[in-house]
Amino acid sequence: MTLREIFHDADDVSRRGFLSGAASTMLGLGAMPLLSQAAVASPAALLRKSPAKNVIYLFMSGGMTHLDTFDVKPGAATQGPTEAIQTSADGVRISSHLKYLSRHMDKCVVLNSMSSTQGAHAQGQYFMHTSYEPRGTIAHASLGSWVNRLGGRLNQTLPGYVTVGGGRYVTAGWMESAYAPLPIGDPEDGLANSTRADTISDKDFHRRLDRVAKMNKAFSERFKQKQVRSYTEMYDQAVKLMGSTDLRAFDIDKEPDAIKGAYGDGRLGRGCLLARRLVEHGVRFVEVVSGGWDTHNDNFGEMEEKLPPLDRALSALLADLDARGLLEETLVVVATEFGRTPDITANRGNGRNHYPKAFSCLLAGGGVQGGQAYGKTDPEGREVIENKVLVPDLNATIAYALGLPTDKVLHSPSGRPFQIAHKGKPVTSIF
Amino acid sequence: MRYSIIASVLLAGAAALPAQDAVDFEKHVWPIFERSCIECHRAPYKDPQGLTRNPKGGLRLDGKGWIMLGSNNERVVKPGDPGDSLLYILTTLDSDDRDFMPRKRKALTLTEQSTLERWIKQGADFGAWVGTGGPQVGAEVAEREIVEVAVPIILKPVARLGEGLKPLKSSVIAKAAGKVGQITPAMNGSPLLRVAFHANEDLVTDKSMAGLMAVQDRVTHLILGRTKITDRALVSVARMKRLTRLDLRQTAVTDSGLRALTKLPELRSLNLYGTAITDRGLAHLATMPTLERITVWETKVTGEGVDKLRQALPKAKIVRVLVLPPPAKEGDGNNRRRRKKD
Repeated sequence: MTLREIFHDADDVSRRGFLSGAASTMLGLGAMPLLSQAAVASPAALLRKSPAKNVIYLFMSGGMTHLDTFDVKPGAATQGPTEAIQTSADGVRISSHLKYLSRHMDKCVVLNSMSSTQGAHAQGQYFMHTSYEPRGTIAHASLGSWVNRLGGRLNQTLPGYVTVGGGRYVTAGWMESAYAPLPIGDPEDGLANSTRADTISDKDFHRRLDRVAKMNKAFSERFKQKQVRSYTEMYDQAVKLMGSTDLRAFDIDKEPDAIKGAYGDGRLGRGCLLARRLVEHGVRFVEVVSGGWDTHNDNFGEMEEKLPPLDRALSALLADLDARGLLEETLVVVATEFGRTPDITANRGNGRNHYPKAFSCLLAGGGVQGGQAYGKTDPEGREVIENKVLVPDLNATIAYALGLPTDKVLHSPSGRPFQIAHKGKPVTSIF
Repeated sequence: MRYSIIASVLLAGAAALPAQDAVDFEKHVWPIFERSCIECHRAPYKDPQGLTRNPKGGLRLDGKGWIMLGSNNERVVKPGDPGDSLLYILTTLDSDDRDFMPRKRKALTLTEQSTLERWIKQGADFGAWVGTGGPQVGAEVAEREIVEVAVPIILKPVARLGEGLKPLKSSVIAKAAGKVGQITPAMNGSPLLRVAFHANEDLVTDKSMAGLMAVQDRVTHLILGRTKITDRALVSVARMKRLTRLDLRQTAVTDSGLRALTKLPELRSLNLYGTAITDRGLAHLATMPTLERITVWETKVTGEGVDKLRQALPKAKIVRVLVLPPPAKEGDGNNRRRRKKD
């Protein structure tokens, strides 16, 4: 990112701050320095050791049952047939279907006191991704867009935000399209349509681009606005990417069979492998979506199906990142929109229904002090009884891990103020 | 910001209320609410058809507690800060904005807008007015505000190392980064720097280090992974006295190059994954008590080599092997067809 681009990226207030800051030689390169001033001035500024740089956000879409994954309650009436196993973290027990992961729990913090206000999928997923409840009057920006907006890209050629396998409620919202995620449908396919079609010669291609630039010139000169610039930048970025050697980051076929086999050949495994490759190449925020967690029917049979692929993919991801020395700078998040009812619905084939009041998420790497469970529910997994973590608090914690200012206010084009995690407060004691 | 400029320009003409005087809620603000807001933002009531009408957006403006409670989980008045108060922001938008309020009435006059702004700026004092009352503003909200202030500033190594340093001029940093590097603060507000070369690894050679020497005492993270550097670059790196994290993964560095690194007094994390390092190179690191983390996966380092280093650096985490789950088998959950329900 050039200084000039940063200048354009800054919102009005920061732009003014930038000018005065530059004059007094306060600022460096990248988007961060713009924000650093505010952070220094603020009494609530939170500083910590070596912040993380990347996020791999695994989203269990549909509502992952907390009692049958990370908040097991052996012996409780609400537990059902799920069994618990010991892990490499003292006192942390998880489902017996997560046997490989049990050896990596020393790298993980389980958040067993998550609580949401949204009990329907669309609203819950929106809330998890944006920290705001859905409103008719505004589209909120999701976390990955915020991270790139506040922290800047790491790799100037690749997109800063990639989603793998879905994510309907993941958008840049009111932010410019430059902050929108690049969606990858099937991780096996990599980045589709990223090379020049054979029928068009290189010369023709550039002639066409020149023509487009010419046609746009008058318009973009007349409307010197962020949104207009953003479209042009998107074209430039795409062309830059087409010629880049970094495209190989999207190609998981380049991985040895042993690695591919370890991650598993399901979508989640392949998605995690792709996420690791992207993070290696400096993509800041990668979200991998795994569907099918809405276990209203046969919850326990479904867990036998759903958990082994998650176990394998997450274990391989953590081990692989660690061996490459990337886990310190990469925060791995396992999230979902809500938990599932402690009461088992016998009449619907041993299912569990939606339960936003208490659920579990997991953080690993990125500077967290692994090997602990944070927060508690009561002995039947019904109520949070210790250290409640609200949805915006989780997102604030992710921002904190990345060293981003949670108190920074950005304004939408209509002038409304927004923050990366709304008013969430980071859980700082787990770092 | 722009609203306050507009408002203050117009304030000169607002004779009804002299600019310096304190705004009296009941006398100046409540009439505005009554005229423009209350029709929609009041207690639930039955309309002529007998249907219950709830306050729009969950916001009631008919009582002190209700106003401060805000809309559905969202505060609308932040005392002292009109720019962060939705009540002010939404009533001063352009009238064709979809968020504009009041939706069913005429826009507030400019005088009314400035009255509202000043009332919030002066601390949103209600005087004796309570209206229909409303809840005591949530204990939870109040508690969370306090937590925000009480969180200590945790000064850990990067912060300590940067103490007393002033941030560098942007021109110095731009020059040091050259065409291929990226230099950012190591963390918010730190004068120390993180240097990386994502996307341009193939262009980075030993010569690229020359530019960095201008900022050598500021670099605390240096990410050289997958670049084309050799041992010669490490001689330059060794001068970076505040270096805490060095990433040399998949580069051509060798055992003899590592010797130069022993001069680094603060190095905590060293990534040598995918290099040709052997036990001999690893032995150089034994004299570096600051090391907390060393990655030597896919090198020629042996288990004995690691054990030896561990004796010298008992607290350091050394990662040499990658233990992956065994390849997925049929029946391991992957690509298995969904079970038939019995």
